[in-house]
Amino acid sequence: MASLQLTTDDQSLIQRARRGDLEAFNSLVLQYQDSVYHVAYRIMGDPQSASDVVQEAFITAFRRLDTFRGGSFKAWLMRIATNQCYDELRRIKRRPATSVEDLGDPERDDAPDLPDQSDLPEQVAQQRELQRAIAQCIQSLGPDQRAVIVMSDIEEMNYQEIADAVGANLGTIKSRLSRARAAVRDCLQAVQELLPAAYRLTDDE
Amino acid sequence: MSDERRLSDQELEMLSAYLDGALTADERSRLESRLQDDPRLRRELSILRKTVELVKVVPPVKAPRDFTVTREMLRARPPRVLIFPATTLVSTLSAVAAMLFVVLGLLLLTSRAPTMQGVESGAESSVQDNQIAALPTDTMTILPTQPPVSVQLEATAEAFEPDDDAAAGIVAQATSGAQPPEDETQRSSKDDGVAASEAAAASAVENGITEMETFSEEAAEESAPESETLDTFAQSDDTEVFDRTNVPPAMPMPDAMQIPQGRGGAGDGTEMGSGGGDMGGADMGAFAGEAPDMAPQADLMQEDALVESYAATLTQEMEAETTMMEAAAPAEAPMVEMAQVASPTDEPTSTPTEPPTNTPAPTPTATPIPAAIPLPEGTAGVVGVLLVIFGILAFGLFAMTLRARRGL
Repeated sequence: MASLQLTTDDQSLIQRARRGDLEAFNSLVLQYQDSVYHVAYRIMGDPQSASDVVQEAFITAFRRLDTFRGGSFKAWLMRIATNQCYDELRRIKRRPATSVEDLGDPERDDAPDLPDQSDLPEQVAQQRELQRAIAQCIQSLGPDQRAVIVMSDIEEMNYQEIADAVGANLGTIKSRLSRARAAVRDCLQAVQELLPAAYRLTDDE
Repeated sequence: MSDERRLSDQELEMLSAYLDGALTADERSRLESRLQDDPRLRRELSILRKTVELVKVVPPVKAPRDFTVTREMLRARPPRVLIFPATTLVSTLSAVAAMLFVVLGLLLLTSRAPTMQGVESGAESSVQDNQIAALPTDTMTILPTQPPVSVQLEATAEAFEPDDDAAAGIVAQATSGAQPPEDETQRSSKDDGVAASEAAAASAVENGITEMETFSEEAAEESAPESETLDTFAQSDDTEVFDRTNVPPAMPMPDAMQIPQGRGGAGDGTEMGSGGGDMGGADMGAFAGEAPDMAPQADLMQEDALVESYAATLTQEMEAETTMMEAAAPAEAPMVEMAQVASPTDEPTSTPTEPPTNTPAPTPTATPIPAAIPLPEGTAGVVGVLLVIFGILAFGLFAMTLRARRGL
């Protein structure tokens, strides 16, 4: 997994932001908000909660810039965001929505991007079906596993960054990720027919 | 073979980490050689890889809007008021302080317990009372002249033997904790205390110091530490209060240290101890107020000085107990002195003899303190409770810093 090094630009932005430069901070916000929102969305399960959480997270981040001591800024942001998510989940005391409609919303905004870029309506529909199924399987995981699998496989954070973001140790992250993947695999077994042939989770290699 | 799709969690973890390139070189080579030999493992790896790729198929969700922060937002959400910087240092310090406070506070509070119990148990007292009664004459003489409590103490000590042993042991421990102990002195002090109490009781009875008795009883109940001796007296019709006042400091100390068991009120003592400790503190105050009242009583006994010194001793002891870590020496010293004082020169058996008038000197701080032994203990009890409260507050601070830092 590629480690996310801070560019020199980023570093100077952070320095300025630390000194209270809101503009500099907002540049960083624009840079990382998609990733942060995505993870928050996966954990919370619905766009509205995710938006609230992300906004709060960035405000908190600006206030606590002094606690960023180098390393992965993304992991640092994720840490704030996931904590905010868990706090919000506790506050709401409900499981994130797992309805397909909720999950479908943000994804409708994005063009589905299956490896085989077919534009045939049928295939487009199938792709959407597939994505929905996968998203649903991810959503069926617990928030901890969801956070980890999204950070790892979608946000491409390495184990250490995930550990820092979640506030757990490396071993915990490893096993949590492994179990999350196993759970998704099992879930996808149920919707084999939706999977493109090449992706059928059969015993064939 | 195909039935065994389920690998162990550990194996799955290995495969998962392998996919992420998170295995060490050793682990990787070992796994790869296993993969060559194990079709099942290969299959599982393939399925896992497909799963991960499918997860990636889910397009990253784009932020529906910009989440840039504005000044209005910052204003609208007042920062959590932290009167302290939520740094690691503050966290650590507050955690350490919390632990220290709570431990110290509990120590203080529990050290009171024994005395309280002692007070509670009247059983021993009665026994001792008898013995005390046996001393009356001696006591009488002794009392007026800063009676050589020692004499009676010794007699009493013997009477109290079983308790004394325990008490002495405890006292020794306590005193040793407080200061390198002059166990002997302690013991003699204790004995003195006991004897003095008895003597006092005897004399009190003689003088009809009923009030003192009452007072003593209350004090005894309230102040566990002193209780032992007091207890004895409290139980007895003799002057409990008087005992306290008359009994040189030794009493309080030993009592405090002593375990209620001697007093036979162990079970109750425990509860009483804690409650007593707290009450002791409060009562102490009351006693303090009443101290002056007692004075006149003491006069009856011609023991003003004794009372004062005794009270002083008690205070000293209280302080010593309160700050176990601190040198109990001061308390001990006065006690010793007190003991000496208590054992009046008059009696040959008495230990060093200092005229009663001297007693006040050794315990300068004690003057206002009434003979009530509970006073010193009460103070310690109060301090103990305060410490525990501070400990809880410090823990709250620690928890808050944790929460604040979590947000980081």
